[in-house]
Amino acid sequence: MNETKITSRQIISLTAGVTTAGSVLVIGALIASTAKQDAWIGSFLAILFGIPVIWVFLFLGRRFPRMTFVEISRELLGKWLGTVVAGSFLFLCLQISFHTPWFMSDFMTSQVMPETPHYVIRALYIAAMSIAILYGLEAFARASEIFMLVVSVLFVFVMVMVIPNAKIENLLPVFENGLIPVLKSSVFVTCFIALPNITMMMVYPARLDDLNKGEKSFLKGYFLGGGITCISILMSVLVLGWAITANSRFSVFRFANLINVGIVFSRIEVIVFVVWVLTQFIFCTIYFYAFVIGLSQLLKLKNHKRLVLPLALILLTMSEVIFPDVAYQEHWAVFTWIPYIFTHGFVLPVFLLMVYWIKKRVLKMDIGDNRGQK
Amino acid sequence: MQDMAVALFVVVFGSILSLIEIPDLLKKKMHRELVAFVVLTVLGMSLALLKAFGWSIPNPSDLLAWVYSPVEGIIKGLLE
Repeated sequence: MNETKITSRQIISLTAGVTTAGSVLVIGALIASTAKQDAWIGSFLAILFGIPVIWVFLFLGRRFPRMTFVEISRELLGKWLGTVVAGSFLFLCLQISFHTPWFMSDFMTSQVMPETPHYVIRALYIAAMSIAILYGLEAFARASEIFMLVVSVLFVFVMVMVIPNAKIENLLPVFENGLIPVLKSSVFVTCFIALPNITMMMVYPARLDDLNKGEKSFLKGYFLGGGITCISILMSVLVLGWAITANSRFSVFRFANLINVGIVFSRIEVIVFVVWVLTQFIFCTIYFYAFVIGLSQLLKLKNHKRLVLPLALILLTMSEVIFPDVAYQEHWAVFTWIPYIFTHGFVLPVFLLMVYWIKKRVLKMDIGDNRGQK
Repeated sequence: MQDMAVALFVVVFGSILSLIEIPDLLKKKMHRELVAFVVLTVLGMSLALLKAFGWSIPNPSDLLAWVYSPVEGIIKGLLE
């Protein structure tokens, strides 16, 4: 393994990218149809619900500061069970690497460039991802820092520009249906913002130069990404009202259409599009990277970069197969993705945590990798 | 038509890649990498060809949807 290290500031941008991308445009419809005008309260609660999940990741990272998630599961569960668990986790990463190019091309062809073939967009996107991984994690992490800076500035700009269109009566009455629908919707949002960060476990403790700063950065990145998601949901409800938000696939894109200040600032929605493309890129590259690294650790390969290009060819074909149409995808995202990420992003790390405690406290085994701690 | 073009691209790209990588991997005696590389490249090419000739490729999303179909009722309950 080559020892490339990333700084804790880069962890902020990577975590923020992963947190934002899973949700920023897609989640609005789902949460608004459940919690109606209280959707924004649900999304703020979801950030709080996510903190224990992030704590579990941080705890595992502190106990095994030199290991990735695949190595942790093999260390704790033994060779066979550990390999099965790691394989199942890698399948999640692969699945997401198939999905994101599909989302990208679907968004591009339905909203921006309707006459471009799907394959061209996907091929460019997958090529960019492969190049990012071939350059190495360090280069990609530095790029993500710039991306998140651009994303934050553009996002704040769009949100400020859209304020004149906001109508406060869209939020009223608060708690019309009581607290239960809000809590239900926040469970969904947690599945989209906090749990995908499980993939950061392939990067976070093992490739980090300073663990103590890194923990804070992980949380900061999570709050930054969660904040972007929450504010975008709040603004969609404020501007569009919950009924339109619930019925539009890309609600943020839709309300950015409404920005029109003079002739200079119209067609602002392309800025939202830039935000979406950049965060999706961070998200998908981290997942693809996690898959490549995990696979090469599972197969005990010395050089993971040899696998990137053959996998990119598989990605190109499979991203066409993965969802036959939009209706299938919307059903899948709710009824399969939520339990799927719940078992892999929450149940699995908690299970590993319990195994760690049982081995450490009950069986008094000398476990854990404390070499990296100062 | 598009599937055909992609299949052609994948086969050409995969062949060029193999011509460059395989001798290098053999020279450096990285046998594990060689096996993984060949398996993945062949898989990628055959998937593209299957798609181009209109065969149905098993969809991993369907598999996951089947695995998690028992909990669909719980999610429906949460949605109301």
